[in-house]
Amino acid sequence: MLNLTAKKNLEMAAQFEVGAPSKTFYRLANRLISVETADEWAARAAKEFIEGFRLTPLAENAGGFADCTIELLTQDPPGIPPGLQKFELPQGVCFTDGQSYHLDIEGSRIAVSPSASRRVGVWLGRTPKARSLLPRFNLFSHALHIALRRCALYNLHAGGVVEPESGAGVLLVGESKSGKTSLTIRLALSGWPYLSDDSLIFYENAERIEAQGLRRVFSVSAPSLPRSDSPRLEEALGAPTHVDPQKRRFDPSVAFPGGLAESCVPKVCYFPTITGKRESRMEEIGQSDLLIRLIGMCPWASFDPALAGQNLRAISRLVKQVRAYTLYAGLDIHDDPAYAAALLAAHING
Amino acid sequence: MTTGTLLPQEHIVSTELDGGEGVLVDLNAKRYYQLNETAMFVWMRLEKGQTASSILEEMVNAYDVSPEHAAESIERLLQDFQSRKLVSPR
Repeated sequence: MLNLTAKKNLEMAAQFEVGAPSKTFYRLANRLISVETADEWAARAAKEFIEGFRLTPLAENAGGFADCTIELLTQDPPGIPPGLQKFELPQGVCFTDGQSYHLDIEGSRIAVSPSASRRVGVWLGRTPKARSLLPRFNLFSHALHIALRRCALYNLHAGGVVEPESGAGVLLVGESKSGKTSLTIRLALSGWPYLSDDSLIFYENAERIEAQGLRRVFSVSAPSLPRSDSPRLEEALGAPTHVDPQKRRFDPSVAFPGGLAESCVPKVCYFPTITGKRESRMEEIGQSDLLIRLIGMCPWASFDPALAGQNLRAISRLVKQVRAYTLYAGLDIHDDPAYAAALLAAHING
Repeated sequence: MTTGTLLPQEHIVSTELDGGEGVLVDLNAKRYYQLNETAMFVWMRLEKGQTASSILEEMVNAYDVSPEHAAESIERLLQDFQSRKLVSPR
């Protein structure tokens, strides 16, 4: 049996094995994204990360010209040019001159050139900390969203469902603990097709805005789950999530088989907030307030300067396409999933 | 009235909403500004490179407002835009 130190050295050695460079193509919303890696460890880490998202891997020889390429590199990153504006992120620091920017995330680096470039350079730090689970997840997450923006696919921190009678796409927008996942699960339990509980992409398609779910699994806390006779809810629960160990992975394909909606055309947008009161109520939100709120839920809309104009124009098109409300969610919704569906269906189709 | 042309700065992104209102986003300062219909009317014309006099003429034609009142509103807006560094002289 190997002692602990020797095993750890082998793991670190494996992280630096070279192997053959690889290139994998993925499809999302008719865009082609390629991931190029310099070694097998990076290839495995990237593959494992992307499997959690609704990017469809293509067969090895099926690739073409990528709309954007994420290039994972393991050598030391280039230096950060002097004189750039600097701002803090929750997971690191960003340096920008308004066109290019450099993200420093716990010893790893992402660099993006002016908007003409369709390449996102990712330098994986060499330290165990840089390569540990959470910093690696944050790094890949930033890189993926940067690549998606370059394909005119914009991330929104929102859940998404489809009202069955009208086919209207419904966005559930809000920060963590606002009730998005709770509401998404209750509506899916009542037969509403779902896109995601908190991570969507939206994009322009012909003359309208469409949305798709981005992450495959939900992230739930105990209070999110309703009391239900369905054993599938329990079966769908998995291990604690990387980002928040107090939440658990929840596989909607197990809980709601056949319930995935590939995409939707958003028509209504709710900002849920949990009140603890007996009854729920809705309050309409005007367009300019909605625009400000949605910009707040897409922070990179203004931090990615080369693409900010396009991103903001897409948001404003979404604003003009939907009706928006604050949903003050009471115990009536929490306690009875069928009531949540009936209430929102009546409101949407009323 | 302000002479010369004021142009929106490159780092300001605008979006017009139904009803004539709008929002400006200052990408450098990471600030948003909600504009009412009058302010958006002026801003959209600044984006086209129009002078204050030209904007005044259009505003008087479009709205039931006296030239004096319109001129005062426009001048106040232009000074506000300048003080927030949203525009600069051509």
